[in-house]
Amino acid sequence: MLKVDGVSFEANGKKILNNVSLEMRKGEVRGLLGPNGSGKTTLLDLIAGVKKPSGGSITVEGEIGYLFQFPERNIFAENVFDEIAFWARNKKMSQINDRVRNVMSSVRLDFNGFYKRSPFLLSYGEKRKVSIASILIGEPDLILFDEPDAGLSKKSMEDLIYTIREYSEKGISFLIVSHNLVFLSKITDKIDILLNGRVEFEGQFEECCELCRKLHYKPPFECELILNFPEIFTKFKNS
Amino acid sequence: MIELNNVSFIYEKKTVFDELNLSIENGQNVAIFGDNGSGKSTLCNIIAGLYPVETGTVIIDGKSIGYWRKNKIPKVGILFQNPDNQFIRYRVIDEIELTFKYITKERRLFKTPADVVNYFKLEDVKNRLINTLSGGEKQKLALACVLSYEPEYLILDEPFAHLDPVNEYLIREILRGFRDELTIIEVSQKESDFIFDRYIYLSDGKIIFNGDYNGFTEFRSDNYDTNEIINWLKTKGINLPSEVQSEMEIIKYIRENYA
Repeated sequence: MLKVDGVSFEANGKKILNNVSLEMRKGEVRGLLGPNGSGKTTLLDLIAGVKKPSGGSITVEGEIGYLFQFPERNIFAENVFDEIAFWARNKKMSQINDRVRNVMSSVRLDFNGFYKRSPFLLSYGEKRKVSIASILIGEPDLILFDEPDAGLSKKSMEDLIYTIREYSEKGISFLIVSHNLVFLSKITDKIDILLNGRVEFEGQFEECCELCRKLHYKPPFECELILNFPEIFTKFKNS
Repeated sequence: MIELNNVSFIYEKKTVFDELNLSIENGQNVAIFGDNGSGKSTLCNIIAGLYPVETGTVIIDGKSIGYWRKNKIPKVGILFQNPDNQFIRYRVIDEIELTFKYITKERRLFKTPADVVNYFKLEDVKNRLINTLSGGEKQKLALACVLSYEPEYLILDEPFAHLDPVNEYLIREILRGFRDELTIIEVSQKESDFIFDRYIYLSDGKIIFNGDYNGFTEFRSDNYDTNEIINWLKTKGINLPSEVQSEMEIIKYIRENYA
């Protein structure tokens, strides 16, 4: 449903993305990891159509929802209800009230406590939850998440993991940028690692432990086990 | 020393703090944890003097924040999560020069903008526009601008959330250089490898834990969950007995039975 084919991008004479290819199927959850400045956000911008590639092509089947890196850039309405309902109203969906309640409970925001408040005056984590809800309500085919976990507490992160699983089962695909490998390992089918504008790795998170350690990412405990007992886990992989 | 005495604060008609008491001694590295919306950022903003309190007092080194502000003495610096919220000017060097305009206090380390540029190694980027910097570079510049005031207390409101581990390490290294003269209060979500002198856990505006590292590990261990790992091991054909629960025990069990 998403095909990125040999995409390059240049800005101010600097090559930011260099021949990047990536394919995703319906309902897939894909992680995108990489150091600051490796081109992760640029790639999402290109897929969303915010920027135009200088080479290659991008095909998407269906609608895209995009959560920006900083939630302040997503929000604009006067109160939380209008903010979340915006896309549903635009798409002329029915039962808007129920839908808003539904997505708010998905991100665990109390409806009565929040619906009248201004999204601009919420805490950072709450703003992020509001912007996530405002995307989920539109039920797009592909959701781009740029660091949805940044600034979320452990508890909120668990809710987010649950929500992503729930929506991907409905057939929504997710492409998720994050610096948190522990978070990614719990939800993704596959991980891509970007380094200096190139896809350096693509595969299961269990296979990228060594590269992640080189990049100083804190590996999930599973990775520690794999690195500690390579003979056991390669044995099981082969059998 | 920072002292909050019976501080109450109402935000958007909602009581965030009700008679909160807290004191932070000089030279301590303090971490503040808590769920989203538990009042962490509000507490930071109150200490930094950005939010005036409803009742109670906030005393920094024996005087109110208002006193220090009136005398243009920057006691408390704050670094926001999103560095874009901090910048006023367009060019890097203009932003640094701005930090020299309004402060009258005697400076020890940074006497000119050039000192700041040299110390933080910003020579290569100093003539660039701020909005062309990468996330890591922006956070470094924001930290440089805050430290340029030479505050005695530094509040970090989750500045590492969007940084990769290498950039986080670089910023922490810079902070280590100021270890002796700075009291650092850090809001965090990641329970990282970094060990603080003191841990505070906020829940709905109340301090439910206030103590050292050992106490905090114990406090958090109740919530610790290895179920996901145990299930993952099952898919690999390793079934653990029910008494094996913690990460240490899992490693020990695998070493003894499989390796």
